[in-house]
Amino acid sequence: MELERLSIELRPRNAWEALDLGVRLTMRHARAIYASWLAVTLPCALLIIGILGIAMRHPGWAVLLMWWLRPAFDRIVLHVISHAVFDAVPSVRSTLRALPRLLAPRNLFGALTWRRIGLQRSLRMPVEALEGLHGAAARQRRTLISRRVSGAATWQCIAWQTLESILTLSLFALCVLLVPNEIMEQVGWDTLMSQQDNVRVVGQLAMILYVACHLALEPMYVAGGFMLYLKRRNDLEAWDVELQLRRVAHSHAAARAGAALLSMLFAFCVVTAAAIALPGRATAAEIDPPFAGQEADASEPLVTPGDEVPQPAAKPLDPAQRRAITNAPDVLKQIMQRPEFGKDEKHSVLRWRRDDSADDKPWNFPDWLKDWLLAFSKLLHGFGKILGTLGRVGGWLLIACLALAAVYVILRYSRGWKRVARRTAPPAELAGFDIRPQSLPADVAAAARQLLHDGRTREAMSLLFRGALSVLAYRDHVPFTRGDTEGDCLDRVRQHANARFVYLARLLGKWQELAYAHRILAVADVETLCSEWPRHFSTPTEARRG
Amino acid sequence: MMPPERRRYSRMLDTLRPVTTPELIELQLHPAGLLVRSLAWLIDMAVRMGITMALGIPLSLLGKFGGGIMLLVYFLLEWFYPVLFEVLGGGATPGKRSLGLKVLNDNGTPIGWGPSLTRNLLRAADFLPFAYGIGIASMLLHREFRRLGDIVAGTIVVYRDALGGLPVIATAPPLAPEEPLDRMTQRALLAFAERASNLTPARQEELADLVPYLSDPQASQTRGPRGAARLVGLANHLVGRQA
Repeated sequence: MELERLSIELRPRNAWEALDLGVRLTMRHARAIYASWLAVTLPCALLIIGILGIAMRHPGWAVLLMWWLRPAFDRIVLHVISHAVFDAVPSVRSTLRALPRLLAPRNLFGALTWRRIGLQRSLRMPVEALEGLHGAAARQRRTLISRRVSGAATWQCIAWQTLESILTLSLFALCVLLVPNEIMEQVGWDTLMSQQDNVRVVGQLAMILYVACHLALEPMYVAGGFMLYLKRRNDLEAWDVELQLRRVAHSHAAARAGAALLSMLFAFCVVTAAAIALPGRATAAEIDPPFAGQEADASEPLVTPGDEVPQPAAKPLDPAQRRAITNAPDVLKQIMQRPEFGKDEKHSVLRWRRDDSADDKPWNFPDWLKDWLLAFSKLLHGFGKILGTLGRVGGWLLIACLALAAVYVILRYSRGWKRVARRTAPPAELAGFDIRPQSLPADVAAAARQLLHDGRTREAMSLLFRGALSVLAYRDHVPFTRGDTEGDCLDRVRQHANARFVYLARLLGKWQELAYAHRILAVADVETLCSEWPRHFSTPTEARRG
Repeated sequence: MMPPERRRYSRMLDTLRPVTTPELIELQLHPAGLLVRSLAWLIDMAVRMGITMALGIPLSLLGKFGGGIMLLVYFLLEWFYPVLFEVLGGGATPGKRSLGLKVLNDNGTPIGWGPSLTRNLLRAADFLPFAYGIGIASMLLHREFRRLGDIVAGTIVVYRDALGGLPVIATAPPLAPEEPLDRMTQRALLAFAERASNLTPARQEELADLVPYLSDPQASQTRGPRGAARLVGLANHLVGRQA
């Protein structure tokens, strides 16, 4: 067995995760597994269905026979999977060639007879098929493997069986759904099922669907059992730790070899003879495989039949130990005869006992209790009626409340509500400008023009923009908030005071050109802006005057 | 080109879902598959039937009003039983909790109302054509065992504690290694010490013999235990136990 070639990640997992991994493994190698599986089972299933189920009209027996033969068919899946986990996926042809060995009667006799009924079949099959043990050793091995995972193994058997039936039901429902409604209305289920022939057809359909589901799901069941088996062996033998330690040893040996090479070069250059005797640790790369007794045979990677179950070889015993072991049964017998082990003790225990002497007349409800219960239930019934009326009223009230709430929500979030919304005081500072009206000169445009003539274009533009924002915020109540940028301000103006938007956009454009792009503005442009400013932003009183 | 070691790993089959946090820490989610989830569903079904019966018997005495309430109870149990437990109960219905499962968003965060409602409302789709036919097929085919509801809601059912507790390293007198050990070696030693208590003594020695330079360094004149016991001692040193 070569653990390095395993294609599944070895790690401690719980039993459920191992079952999940079985599903994933089947899906990864779906083509190979189902090709080999169906190559054998599909002809067999068709034969059984055709002859026993349809020609001889015993669909129930056909299903039972398919069910009974499962252990035989499952060997095929196990064969493919046990190779696939070592990344040596067998072809259909090689599986068919291995078929006589897989289905040899001596391997299958027990599985098909007295061990057929058993809920842990999926877990035991790898032990039987791959380890090839017989008699007491096999029994002991099976017990060891199924310890701690028997619950999961049992549940997976029940679950897959149930899932097959459920999927059959589901497919059956699909078939029924696909029957056109007109037909069902004309014929009707009752007339359909009253005819013997139709009942038979439905039974045969169910049989075919069930076998189809079985063929689809069984590989996952086998893979789940196999993964449980691998999980148990990994728990017992710590394969993952072995792989890690091998890797460590390998890299250590490689490092040593490299170091040895370097030292050899060094020694060759400097000294000449003596220093070459470095410790020959490079041999650590050739560590004996742990299961020395096992063949590393690719054709049967897990364990070959007749192979020792990997229990590490015992060390030779010295004579004293051997004597102790041969004497052990006698010594044990002596110990068992001591009074601590052989004494009878009497305990008296108080327990309830059925009194047989009392008459066995069946106990009846006394009449008063019956009357009382009847009255009580009548009372409850009346109470229920009252509650019902209350409930109906409550329900209507609830609906009314919901309707009101809906109206409220619609009003709250519609435009109409916004007009009513409380006006908040405009911020004192916006986009870095102080926009309080009292901070501005009385006639903004004139002041700006004055600044422009003084050659302070920047201050002039700043004043125009600041003034515009101030008027928009305090006169037109555009809802600026602290933290609005210049672009945000422009957006708000477009929404709330559209008439001023074009002018403000032009003003802002020029301001950004001057302030951020550091371009020199034409005096005439600024002059135009100054002369247009009062038209848009002169206060209402001024406007009325003008 | 990937080194051979890495290439080998990338095709190793496993059921984990790696999730990388914004801090670039890789977590492993352990998605739970069809079988364990079907068992959890059965338990939840039993709980729901229990609730239905416990309420149904007294409510049936209340006549039509009781019937009305009962219909409401059916409705709530059908659609909100899983949602309430998943959102308010740490991602697990009683069935999932009893089997150690829980629902997470697929990035590993706890599930909220939106995803939980989505995944449970879509049970209707998974139920088609009958008895969860599509859901079963989806869980078998999806690499993280998700049904349609999980795929749409971006959720995943995982094992809460896949290994059942933290690993325990057997206590032994710590031994300092003669030379510094690289990370791979440290990990291997810790893995060995965690698992050693479940192995037969012979198997322990067999494993220890794989790394003779650690378990049996004859070349240097070291004292102390040899073999597996020595490896456990080194592991005790690595986890920082004091003598």
